[in-house]
Amino acid sequence: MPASAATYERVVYKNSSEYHYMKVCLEFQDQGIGLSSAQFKQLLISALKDLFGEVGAALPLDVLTYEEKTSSAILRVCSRFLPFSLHYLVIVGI
Amino acid sequence: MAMLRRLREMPRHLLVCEKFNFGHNKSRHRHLVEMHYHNYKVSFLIPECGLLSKELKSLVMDMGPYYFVKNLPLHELITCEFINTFVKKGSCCALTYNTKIDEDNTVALLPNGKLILSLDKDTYEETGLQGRPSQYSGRKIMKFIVPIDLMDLSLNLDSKKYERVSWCLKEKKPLKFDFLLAWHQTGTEESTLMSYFSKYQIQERHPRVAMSTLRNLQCPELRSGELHGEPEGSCSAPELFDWLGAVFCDVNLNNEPNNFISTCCCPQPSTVVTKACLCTVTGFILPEKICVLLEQLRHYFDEPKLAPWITLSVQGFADSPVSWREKEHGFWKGGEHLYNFVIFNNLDYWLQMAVGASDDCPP
Repeated sequence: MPASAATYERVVYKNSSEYHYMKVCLEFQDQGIGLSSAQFKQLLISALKDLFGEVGAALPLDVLTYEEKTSSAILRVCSRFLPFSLHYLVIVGI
Repeated sequence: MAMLRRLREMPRHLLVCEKFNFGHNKSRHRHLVEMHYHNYKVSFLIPECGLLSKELKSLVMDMGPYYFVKNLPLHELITCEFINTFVKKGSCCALTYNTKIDEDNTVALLPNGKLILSLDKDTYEETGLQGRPSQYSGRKIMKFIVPIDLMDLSLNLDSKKYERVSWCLKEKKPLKFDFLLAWHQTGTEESTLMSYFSKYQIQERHPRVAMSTLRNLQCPELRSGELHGEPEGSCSAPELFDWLGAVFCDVNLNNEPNNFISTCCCPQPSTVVTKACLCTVTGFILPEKICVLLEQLRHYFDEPKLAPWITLSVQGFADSPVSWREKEHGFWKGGEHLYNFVIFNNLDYWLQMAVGASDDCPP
């Protein structure tokens, strides 16, 4: 059994998370539109490009999970770009 | 301008990471579990394990029951009969069901006998009870917290204080809520919540249990003495925390850095385990049950095991008015208040406690 490192230590991380996570869902007026995960991501990138240009389109964005049936996803964005992400999600209607 | 500034700011969040050893007499692990009252989801992950042991399985199936009662008048929780039967004999927890902590009136009963009312301004003024403004109400106070100490009230039921509280809740502004209730009884009393609230359509519920075996899971390498991790040696506690969240959400972590959809991957260094057992219990779970589970998981390493560590994660109800002890909890953007144990094979442990913007620092 490895030797025990029994000393007490406590660290408080404040606002240190590198990423923020969002659960989003895309709703269409017409039902029955199915998007693949790649198409979903492309849609987000083009929305970012429309709003914030090339720089916006280059913001790091990961689609961690995607459910085609409901067009819902969990996104991961860098914390320092969070305000931009929130803006565009609101405007895109998510 | 202030609105724009607020939009640009990331919501404040805190992650407290502690390391210690279960065998040390000053370890607070039990105390911190017991002080976190309203638990919604309990999950544990055991790498290198395909099937749970009989003891763990039966423990997991025994994490209830809890009760759901519709339209329960609030004054029923301050009667001397209720206090003497349930509050004083064991630990009784209650939480209003389907009430949003930032918008609706919310009530919670804590095992120490404190009844916490989180009321909107109109209701607060109509009840006529004494309280204080909510810490997280903003510049315009829209929410008030009224703590009622049932143990203190029960000492003298003829007091003016008890009469006033009783009158306020029974006649001045009778409030009714749907409640989730649970009771851990100490002793051999025959009374049960089911029989006590039988006239209010009380239903017994059992927590939902989900078990799955994860195959070929990349797990971060950890060293119990290195909370911050070591370059090329071990991962840090925050990295482990993020990774665990990804595992619970069934996120694919086998991504190349140039993958279009996602570049999320397991923190390095890591090892691949052929199988891992993930078990999740969802319901209204008492801290006493979680203590028993933690003790059982602690003893997982009594016999030699392949796994270097196992985790136990507990999430609180997002709309509970308290997080740990009587610290006020608010929702803001997520309402998260959760903790996670990493139990190492040498009985060292890491304890991570996370809260959002509308919470004090965990104890």
